[in-house]
Amino acid sequence: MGVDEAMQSPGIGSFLDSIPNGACILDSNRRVVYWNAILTEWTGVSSQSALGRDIAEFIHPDQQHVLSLILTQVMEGGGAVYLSPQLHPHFIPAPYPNGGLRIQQTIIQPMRGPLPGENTLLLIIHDVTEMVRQVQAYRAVRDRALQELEERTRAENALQVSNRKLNLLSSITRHDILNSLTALLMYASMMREEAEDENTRAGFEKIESLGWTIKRQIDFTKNYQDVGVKSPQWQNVQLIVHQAREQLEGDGFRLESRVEDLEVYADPLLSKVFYNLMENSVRHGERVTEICVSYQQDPGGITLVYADNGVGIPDSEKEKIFRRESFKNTGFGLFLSREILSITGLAIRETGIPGKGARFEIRVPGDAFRIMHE
Amino acid sequence: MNEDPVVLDGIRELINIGVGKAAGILGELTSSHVILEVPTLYIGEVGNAEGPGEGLGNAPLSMVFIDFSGPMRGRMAIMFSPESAANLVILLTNEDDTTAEMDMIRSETLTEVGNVLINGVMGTIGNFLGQPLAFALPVYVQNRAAYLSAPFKEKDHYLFASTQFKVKGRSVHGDMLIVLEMGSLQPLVKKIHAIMDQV
Repeated sequence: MGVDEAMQSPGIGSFLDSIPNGACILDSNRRVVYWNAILTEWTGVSSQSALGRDIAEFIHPDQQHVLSLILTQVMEGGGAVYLSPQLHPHFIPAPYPNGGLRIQQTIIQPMRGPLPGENTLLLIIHDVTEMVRQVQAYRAVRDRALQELEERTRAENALQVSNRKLNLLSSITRHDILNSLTALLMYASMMREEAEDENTRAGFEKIESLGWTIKRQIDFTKNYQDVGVKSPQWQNVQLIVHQAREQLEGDGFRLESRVEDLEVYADPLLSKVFYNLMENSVRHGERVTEICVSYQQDPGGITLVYADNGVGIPDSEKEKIFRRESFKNTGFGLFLSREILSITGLAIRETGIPGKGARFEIRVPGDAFRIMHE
Repeated sequence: MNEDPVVLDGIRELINIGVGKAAGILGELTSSHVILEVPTLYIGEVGNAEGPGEGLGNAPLSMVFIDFSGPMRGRMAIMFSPESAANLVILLTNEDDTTAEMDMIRSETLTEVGNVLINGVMGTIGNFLGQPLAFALPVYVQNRAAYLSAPFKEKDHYLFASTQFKVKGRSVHGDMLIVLEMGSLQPLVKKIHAIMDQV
């Protein structure tokens, strides 16, 4: 059986013409004995024209030394040769009609046949241009993302440095103002005591009162400076509530805490929130003897409830108490508390009935709480 | 298992010849000076406590393997951590992108490198036996080392060799694994003994 007969018999020839890859078969003298339709389409070389020619005529000049290596490898008992698109992108140059060369992955498989009694090499060439382009596009996107991340990290580091400098400046300034303020208050107090008439005394009292207001405002800046500085963390609410209680002077109320298994994800200043709530109960609740902290769970999260049995908060004040200008009544505490809670998406509001006690509800979304016994 | 030092030395020598050839071809393909060393070799049974995956952990590895048949039947693989695999490809191809991530382009390149290496070693062993081996196409996978020996039986043998690639003055560590079906090691052992007896 001759070459033509071997290749035209129903079998490998018709199979190789039906696959979507370039394919050719070389005899032991590396001459083309089969050249499939896809290779004709890719190279413009007809099967008739390719047959009998040395494969070296069709191989990219840069790949000529690869061909001799391949033959050596095959002759030395190796198996199939695998040529990757990165190292051999254009083993047999195959241009696209609109320009540019196909990127190829090539497999060269030694085999017996189809020529009778002869070792041959089967070349299968797969067009991987689209896959390579997609990987390159992915790499470009990844590189952009990495670059943006690097820039963001740099910016964050710069912001941290700036923040430290600003905190230092504000700390020094605050210290100096408080020193001067202390002296001013001392002089005002002395002048008030030495005042000979009521009008002058009243004037100095006003100066003192304004001085104390300034001091509270300065203290607020110190507290507010710490909000959001440290990363949020999971905190046991029971522990936090008891810590807040211990920081309060005196124990004029009974604390009932039903949150022992509850942890919330919040700014480390969470204890300050409960301290402020308790301090307000003691200071403004007038008759507070009981404080209760509990929670209710629903499909969307939990509602953490702080309630006392004091005089409560008038309806007209329920939202105002969270404003910064309400410091006269709450010492900035509730404004600050709302800020602290909002860092991790927690929201606070007052829902008590005036005359029956204050009731603060802290809404905690589903991803910001966990119940430990579960 | 047969841990006869003569057999171990013989197999180590064959592997060294094979990787030497492979290093030459890789150097030619990549226009780099490539040195390949195989400092250690173990032989064991797949079912042993110290099986072929032992010591490589459960982390996924980038692996290229080829199944072979003939006088010996089994599978040979070259294994890297994905980072080492990416670094080896970067060194061999002078890529500008130095992110140690295995994507499709790099896995194709590693397949070619593994193919050259496996052909070098198994071709040398086949020639030594005087009977050529038949090879399947190379396969790239990212999986645990145990994946490679999963189709084999407990009494089948394996050869495990740590491998050091040195390219442009930098080293990349990989491991070679040859898993042989029962009885496939015997022709090699016999041939090594026959040669040693002649010596």
